This record gives sequence, C-alpha cells and structure tokens, in this order.
Amino acid sequence: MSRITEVRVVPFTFEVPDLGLGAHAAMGVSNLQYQKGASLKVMRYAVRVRTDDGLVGEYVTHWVGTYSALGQTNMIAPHLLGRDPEHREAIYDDLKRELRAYDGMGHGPLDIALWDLVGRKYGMSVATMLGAYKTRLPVYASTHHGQDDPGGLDSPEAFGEYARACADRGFAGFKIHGWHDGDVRRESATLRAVRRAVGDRIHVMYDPGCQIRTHLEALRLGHVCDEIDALWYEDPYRDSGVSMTGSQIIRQKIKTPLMVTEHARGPERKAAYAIAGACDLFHIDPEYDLGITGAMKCAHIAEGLGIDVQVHAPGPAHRACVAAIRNTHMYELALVGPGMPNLIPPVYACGYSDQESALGDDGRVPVPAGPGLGVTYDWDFIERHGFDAKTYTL
Amino acid sequence: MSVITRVEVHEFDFEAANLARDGVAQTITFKRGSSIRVAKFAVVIHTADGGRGEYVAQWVATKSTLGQALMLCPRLIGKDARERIAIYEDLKRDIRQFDHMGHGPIDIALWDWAGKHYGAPIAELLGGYRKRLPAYASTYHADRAGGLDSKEAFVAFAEHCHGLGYRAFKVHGWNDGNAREEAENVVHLAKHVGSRMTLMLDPACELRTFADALYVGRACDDAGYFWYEDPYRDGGTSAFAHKRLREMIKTPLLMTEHVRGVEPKADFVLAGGTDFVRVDPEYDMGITGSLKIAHMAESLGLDCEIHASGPAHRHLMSAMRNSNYYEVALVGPDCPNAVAPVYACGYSDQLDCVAADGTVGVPDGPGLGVTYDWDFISRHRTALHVFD
Repeated sequence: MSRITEVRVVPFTFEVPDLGLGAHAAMGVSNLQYQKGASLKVMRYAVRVRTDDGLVGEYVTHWVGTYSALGQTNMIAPHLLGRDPEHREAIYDDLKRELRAYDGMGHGPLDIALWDLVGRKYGMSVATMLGAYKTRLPVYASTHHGQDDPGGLDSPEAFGEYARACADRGFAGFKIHGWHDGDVRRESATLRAVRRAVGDRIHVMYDPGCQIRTHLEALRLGHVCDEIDALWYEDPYRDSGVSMTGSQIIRQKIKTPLMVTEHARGPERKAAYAIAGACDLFHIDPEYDLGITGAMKCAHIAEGLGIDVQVHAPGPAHRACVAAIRNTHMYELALVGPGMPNLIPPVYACGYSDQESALGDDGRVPVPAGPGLGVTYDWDFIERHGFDAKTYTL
Repeated sequence: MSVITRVEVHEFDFEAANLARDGVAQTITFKRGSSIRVAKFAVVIHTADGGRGEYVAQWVATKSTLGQALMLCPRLIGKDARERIAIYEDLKRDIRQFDHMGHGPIDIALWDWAGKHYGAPIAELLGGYRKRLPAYASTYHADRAGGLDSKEAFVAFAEHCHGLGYRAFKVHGWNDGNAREEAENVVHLAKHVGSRMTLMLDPACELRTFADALYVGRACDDAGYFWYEDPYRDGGTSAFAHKRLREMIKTPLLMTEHVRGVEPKADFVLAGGTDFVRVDPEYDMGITGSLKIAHMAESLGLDCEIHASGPAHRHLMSAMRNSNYYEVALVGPDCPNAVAPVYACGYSDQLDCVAADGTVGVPDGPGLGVTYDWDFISRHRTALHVFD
C-alpha cells in the first residue's frame, strides 16, 4: 500500500495576448473579449501528490482554476495525507461530505491527480483505466462570447464568417456563446447567420451562458433553435442554469434538445434533473463534478437513464473521459474565436494542446496514451510563475 | 445614486479554546486543553456619498468563500449600492458554476449600508415584527474527548441548556456515523428531556448509507423528534432519496442546507425531497437571496428554518412568519461558540445569549445594529484586500 505524504498546491499566472475583460474587471469564467494588443493575466493552479513509495500524481487546472476553487482545494488538500491514493472512492466520499455545503469545485483537481498517480503506478493511461476505446475524438469549436468593442466576434456576420472557417477547418460542430446583454433580436440574427454560413455541413449549438434575462425570451430563442435545427440548446437564461421547473416548461414547448446541469454539481443533482424531466442531456466536467470519479458516475447515471452526456471544456482528463463514454458526442474546444487564443495554461512540455491548431487533418484530437494523464507538465514554468504555494506534509 | 467606490476585505484570525478540528471544513469538536486557530473575514463597502456598510462573515468564512468573495468584489465598483437586486442578478450569473458562498457577506454588507443610509434597522426595512425569537441550542458534534462524549453527557448538557432557558435542543452526532449509537442517543435524550424540550437531530451527512438513515429516522419517530436533518452521505443533495425516506418515516425532514439558492430549493421541494426549507443569509446569496427563499417556502405553504446564527439571521427571522427557531450554533460544555468575538456592543451568539424564556432579541440600531470591534479585527488582521 502507498501512503500520501505530500500535497503541493501552486497557484501561478501567465499572460494571454489579445484578450481583455472589457468594461468590467471581475473574472468569472467567460467574461472575455478580443482586445488587440492587450494582455490578460490569468491565474491557474497546479497540484502534485507524492507518496511514501515515491509515486507522483499531478494536475494543472484549466477552467476550474479560480480563487474560489483554489481556496477549496487548500481546505481539503490536508485531508489526503496518510491515505492510500488507490482508495479513490473512499476519498471521494469523505471530500464530498466535507464540502457538502459548498460546490466541490476544489475537489476535482485533487481527484484527477490521484488518477494520474495510479495510472503512472501501473504504467497505464487514465483512458485505459476507464476502459476507453476511442483514440481520436471529433471536436466542436466553442466560441468566446460576442462583444460590442470592434474585433473578435463583434457581429452576427462575424460569427457566420468564423463558423464557415471552422467548418472548413474540419470541426464537427460550432457552438455560439452570444452577447452579454441577451438581446433576443441580435441573438436570433446570430443563430440564423451561422446556420446560413455552414449549411448542413456541421452541427450548430447555442449556449447563451445564462444571459437571456427572462423565461419568455428563453422560449423565443428556443424556437429559433428549432428553426435552425440546432443540435442542442444550453443554459439559456438567468435562472443561471439551476431551475428544473423553468427547464421543464422550456422542454415542453420546443423541439431542440435542452442541455443543462453544467451548474448542478455531482451525480445526485444531475439525476434529479433528468427524473424531473428538466433536461435532455447532461453536461459533466471532471474538473467541476468531483473529479474523474464523480464525472464517470454522472456518465453512468445518464447511461442508466438512457440519455447522453456532453463533457464540458477541454483538457487531458476530459479526453480520457470522452474516450470511455459511449453516450456522448463531441469534445469541446472552449473557448476559441478569430485571432483569439484559448485560455489554456502554457504548461505542456510534451506538445499537448487545446488551441485551435491542435485539430488534426481528420478534424480530431488524440487521446493521450502515456501513463496517467499522459502529459508532461513544465514545472519550471509553473514554479517560476508561482506565488503563495502551499505544501502539506504528513 | 450612491456609487460604490471602495470595497475592503479584511482577513483576520483568533484562537478558540477547548476545541479541535475533526476533518478540514466546519467539523469541530470538543477537546480539553486544545485550541484552534479560526480564520474569518470582514467586508466593508464605501460609497461616494460617504456611506459605509460592513459585515463580518462567521460560519461561511472559509478559504473557499474568501476566494470567491475576492473574485466578486471588483464587480461592485461603480454600482449603485441601493440597487441590490441588479447586483444580486449579476453576481449570481457571474459565478453560476460555483456555490455562491462568497456572495452572501457582500449582500449583507449592502443591507447594512442601506440601513445606515436610511437610519433604520434591517428588520424594519424588511417589515419585521418579531422582537423575540425562540432559540435552540445546536451542539457541536459528539466527541470522545470529555465533551459530548456519551449519551449521558448529552442529557447533562441538555439539562444545563434547559436551566439557561432553552426549550429546544439539536444534536449533532458522532462523526463515525454508527447508526446504533446515534439511535440510542436519540431515544435516551428524549426519555430524559423530551417532555420539556423540543428535540432535533442533524447527523450532518455522517451516516454512511440510506439504510442507516432509515434506521435512525425510525428512532426519531419513536422519540418524537421535531425534525431530522441531512442524515446521510448523499451530502444532502438527493431529492429522490429523501422523497423515499419521507415516505418511510413520520418525522419531518429538514433538507436543502446544501442546495444553494431559490430555484434549486423550490425544485427540491417540488420533487418531494423535504418538509422544511433551510435558508442561511450567509450561504444563500445574502438577505436578498434568503427573502426569495422564505417567500418561495411561504407560497408553497411550508416553514423555512434559518441555518446558523448572526445579526443578519435575526433581522431576517424577525420578518418571517413561517419560521420556528433561531439556531444558536455551535455550542457545547466548556467551549465557546467559535464565531469571531467582534461585537463591541454586547451582541452575542454564545450559549448564554438567551433570556430566561429561551428567546433572543433582534438588534434595533441602524443597519445590522451591531458595533464591530475594529481594534480587534485590525490587531488580528492577516491580510487586507482593497478594490477601488
């Protein structure tokens, strides 16, 4: 048996060119826009777990890497000390209980590091640990939000042009994140412009990111999704993706499948959504939903109910999950836009990438096949740009 | 318009005696001679017209919440402090993937600002009318270290609380979640004080299985408990399981402490997952979010029980018809409630805060109606974050 003797949590920053936060300064998850010549400072964090017999497991956060999740990871990291890293289910159960009043967002990065550790111990990829059978994944382009300042996705036409470029590039789908003001006319025009631009070559999906202000407006846009034959309609309005009753009514009145539960954490809540008839497919995320352990439970409850899931956001853990889930469609390359880099930390020393350029000629991305997550992290970069690192030891 | 020009977040910490951590979040139990370092934070909001609102976060003040509050604070600059609903809407959407725990302290500080701006206690802004609130003693988790370490110790402490005036008492059991031990404690306590005190049980999700939750629930039935709260390791999130549990026991369930905000709580009720609704102004997006929840519960004909203690909690309850008890959390023999000792005005949530009739009062000064001890906070400050 191995025992966890050390957990290190290292927040670090990096600069992303040509992106900014626009008029407001707060950093949620997707309040970004194209700003020529600007540079956006982004914080993410790395975790590393060590055992008494010399094993190491690592993970560097992608979208979950916020101050909120960091605080939570620091709350629960000491809880891993002394435990057997292979007892992922017991650890899942205890961390879930510790954070029961919280969202559990700090849990995922630690769970993923444990999968990495155990995979490396046995010389097996996380995908293989999960019984994966897909080696290359079809990908959809998931856009940055629309913006009012010139540049980037600044008009329905700009969305249309970018969608055409993505179809030419080989993407299997294109997902629109609309404008922050949630204006029904402009949103509708964008949906129609994108469908016109790509014809029936690729799937079109729509995610207003909860920016539609009212239920009635969300319904109207649902009808536009029907009209353009969208593959799914996601988190439409300002219930902020948590009202089952609101979603039930929308589902009853539109044809387009409704995808919610990105903001309903963990398998119990997602199950309740499906049982209430409030969604057609789940959104799951190994960073958000209590790790690979939690995300796979979500995939299995969906399977048990006969419905599909989509894995939210990109990353090596996400690819391993998609590779092992039958009831899912495309890998989400989020977020991309014309001349706009994805906000992924530049920490891969092995060529792994979630930028647009990662897409192969077949329109797919590979599932890492090396032991554990199958990526090599650049710890020099992480430590050099790190601050306020914490090391917990037994 | 009262433009917000500056927001400060003061981190500070202090020692609490005869306590030890069991786990890493809020699980604290008695341990004689031990002490723990407790970290809290204060939020201060300034407006261009000289207004000031403040709040010291208590049980919600964890590292996770702090990180989230720091993400949200920049959003406040330039907003009108009076437009709490617009701020609620934007903050809620901005961190829609997260649990919103960092939102509450900010919203409460805005209510304090408003109360001081208009010279009225928050209770009065809410139309509050209840001046005295019936309280229950809400215990620390049981321990094996000389505090609440046996069923006899629970009886002795309940008797002590009865002597202080309490007429209601809630058990937080052992962290091992041994169903037999919990059930024995439930029945034993009721035998001794059940005719004189209203009893509640909160295993705080420590029972490991549904079957254990059912077993202990049946003990609550036998012993006539007033409510049964968050029994097992679903973590208080499965509406499906608690609907099933409700069909099998008589004791009313109190769920939704771990279900954030008005919409998910409404759905939990509609799915048949609870009898009472839980609300906490620190956890549920402030007094603004809590009022929505109280009114949702009211519109469904249910009672809404406020989680934990604090001045915001008291103001809120003074304006709620459909709420039974104020929670003095957490208390135990020979140890303090580990809330920050930051009140310079006599306000208290310690064990002896109840009057002989078992009630607590509602502060009647402007805003929250408490005077924070800024000397103490400054002296114990570990970090200051300023947004302007």
